[in-house]
Amino acid sequence: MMKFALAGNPNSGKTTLFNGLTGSTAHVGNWPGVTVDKKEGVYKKCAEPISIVDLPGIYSLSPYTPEEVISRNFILDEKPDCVINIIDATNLERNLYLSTQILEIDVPMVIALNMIDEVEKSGDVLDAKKLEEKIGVPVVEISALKGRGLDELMTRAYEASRTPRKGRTVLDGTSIVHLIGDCKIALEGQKVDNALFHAVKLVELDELEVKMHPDSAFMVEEFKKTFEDDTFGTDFDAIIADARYKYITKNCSPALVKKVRSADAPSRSDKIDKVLTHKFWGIPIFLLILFALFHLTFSENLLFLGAALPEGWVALEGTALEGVFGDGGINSPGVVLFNLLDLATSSLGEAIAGAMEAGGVSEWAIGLVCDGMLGGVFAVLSFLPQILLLFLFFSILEDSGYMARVAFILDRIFRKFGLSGRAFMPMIMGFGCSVPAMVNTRTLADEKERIATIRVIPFFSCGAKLPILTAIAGGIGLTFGLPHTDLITYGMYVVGIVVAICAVLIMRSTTMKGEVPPFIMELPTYHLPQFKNLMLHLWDKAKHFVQKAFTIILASTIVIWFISHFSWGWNYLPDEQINESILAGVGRLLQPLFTPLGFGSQIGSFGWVFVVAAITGLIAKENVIATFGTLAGCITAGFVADEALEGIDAVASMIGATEIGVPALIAFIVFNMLTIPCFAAVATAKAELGKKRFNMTLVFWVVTSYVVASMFYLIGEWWWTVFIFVAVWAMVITLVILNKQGKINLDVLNPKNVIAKIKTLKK
Amino acid sequence: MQPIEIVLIVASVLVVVAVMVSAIVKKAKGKSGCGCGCSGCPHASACQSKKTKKA
Repeated sequence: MMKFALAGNPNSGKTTLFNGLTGSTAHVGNWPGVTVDKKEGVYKKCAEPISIVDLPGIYSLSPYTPEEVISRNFILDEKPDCVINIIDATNLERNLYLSTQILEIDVPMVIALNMIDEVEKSGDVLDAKKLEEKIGVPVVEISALKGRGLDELMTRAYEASRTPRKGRTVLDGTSIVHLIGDCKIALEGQKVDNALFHAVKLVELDELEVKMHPDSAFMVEEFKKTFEDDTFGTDFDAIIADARYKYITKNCSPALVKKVRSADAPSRSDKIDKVLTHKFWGIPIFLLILFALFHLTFSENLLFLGAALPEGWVALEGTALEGVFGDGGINSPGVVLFNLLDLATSSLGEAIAGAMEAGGVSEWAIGLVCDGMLGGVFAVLSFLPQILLLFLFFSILEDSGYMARVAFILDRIFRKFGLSGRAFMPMIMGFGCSVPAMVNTRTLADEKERIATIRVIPFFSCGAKLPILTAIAGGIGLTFGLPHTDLITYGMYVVGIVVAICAVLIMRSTTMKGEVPPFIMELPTYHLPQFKNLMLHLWDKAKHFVQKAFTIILASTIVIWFISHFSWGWNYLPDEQINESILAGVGRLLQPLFTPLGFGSQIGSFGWVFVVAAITGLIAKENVIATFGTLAGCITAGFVADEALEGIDAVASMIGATEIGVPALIAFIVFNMLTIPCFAAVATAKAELGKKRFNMTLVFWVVTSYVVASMFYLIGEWWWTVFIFVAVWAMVITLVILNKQGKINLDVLNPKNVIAKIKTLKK
Repeated sequence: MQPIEIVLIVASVLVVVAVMVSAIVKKAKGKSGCGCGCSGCPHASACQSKKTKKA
């Protein structure tokens, strides 16, 4: 099958074009660096099927980050039949810089002028034919978003792929063209493919090229000794970059006729940026937006109207609608959707239980279906609307171009903690799922910054942890009568962020010391999010969540139900004897470990359920609430109800049965939020970090979650312990500051140095 | 034991075995372990086994 590669600058619309050509639903976002690995699809509308490969965005073929290496290696080593170079037509000159480099490779090439509709809308005129004449490769106007010109692009690319193309350089006339020629001849003598491209890179003293061709690099170094350029001295890299831009300005820029505008007239994006990226208001505005998202998703007192509206302003009391809209009719959209699904699943559960009872099915079978299967799955499934709503809000912010701005405004603060603003993008992705977030750290050039970021990504609560936060916060509200439980959920998200910042600060001051790399990010223009794009994101998320609920979660809850209803002697136990089960035995064995966290040996006879829930969460975080859903119905059979209990009700029942306190419940949330993430995230971390660093990361997750959760429990239970923790943290921060100022050296705490010291002492 | 109870036990065992087998098969084939599909996923290679990567 023929293979066409899509190459271009970050955020030029490659993935949108890839989706348009192949019918895929790959993730697209309005910020540079969404794609970090190549992906393939098939275009079927040509004379023969063509494999389309979407490459990560690159600014040049001199790569710095891992995903940029992927793009360069693919074009050079995999020898695609044609390279489709996508150019953001609204930013022609900068995008053509990469084109001048691809031109040097012996590969058929077509230029796709993307976002041509934006150019037309702005009143500018871009002459594709003129550009084609100057550059010497086909140029096609397209709009990947609107599907305009895609068939023509593929037809031209198909035609181009039939004729081999020799690379040519735009560096003719420069002072080093002869050196490039000599290097090319030397490389051709060594039978190197794409000799011209490699020769230019060699003259630039590109790190990869120097390693590959040390003999020819020596030739360049020798030439350097006798060479002096008037402007750039012996900086060949600068001479070449300058020559490329001169070529673009002279030959390509005339193809673009810009509309006459007032020189200082700000664009729409500039006007919005004046407010949203303001030096002082930028961060408070971001926090306010974040709060609004969580409020719309979790609040049972929408816009805090509860205090303003007179009691009984709407007559919902006693009606079915009260359960959906709340007694004051002011539930947020997220809570309304949650209640609706909860109502549907509860009714379905009750109907199935009723039908089974009427059919004379035995008690254990009803228990297996209602508690084991439906209880667990429904407990998780009922949170789907809130997960989707939160995900929708984040997608809107991402697609609009705002998230890229947040990375920019946070750079100043992140820098103080040892990270660049670029690290914000994978972190914010962590709110959706840790797996892609960890992979996205490949866009970070500094390895130590990357490791530190991967380690703290699970602290940004993913969608799977949302049921834990919401159900336990709801359970606290229901049992202890606390208002505004959405603030607990929001607070827990903030705790995750604060712990991540503190952890990074400590890591970057001790084991992960290093300079913070400069943060350069192209800010995309603001645009209204595409409805289709948003719906595709949501559909993808919903599909995978439901799939997970009916596979991994269902299987886990069945296993939990069985081992909670059989004794070590493999005898069936009714609900009342659940404390004698295998699961209870294992849970009780581990219970003492969690005593400092408040959900260990000190809570009632069913306290082991909390330990078991935390352990099952290591498979998938949804399992924590699924475990409550499965076991609550059995445990509370003698306390509250004899029906399947879901989500918040299940947690409330467990709180009632164990008499666990609020501090321990908060510690339970914190522990689950910060500890080892799910299997998938653990596997990804292992792949990204390597075995040695991965082992340290596991220890880091366990220690951090244990320490922070016990801190919450102790402060909640004995308020005066707050002074001890404040003193300890003050000491840590002082040490970090002194270390930064060079007054002390915290390197002695580095495990490597400690081990080396022990070895020396042993000798 | 009623027929429905036998069906329930068989179905439960089947679900658990099927999920475990599918996870093992997916891992062996180098497919995703996160529950999401690999088609069109830019992060698919991160989940793939070393064996597949070498191939």
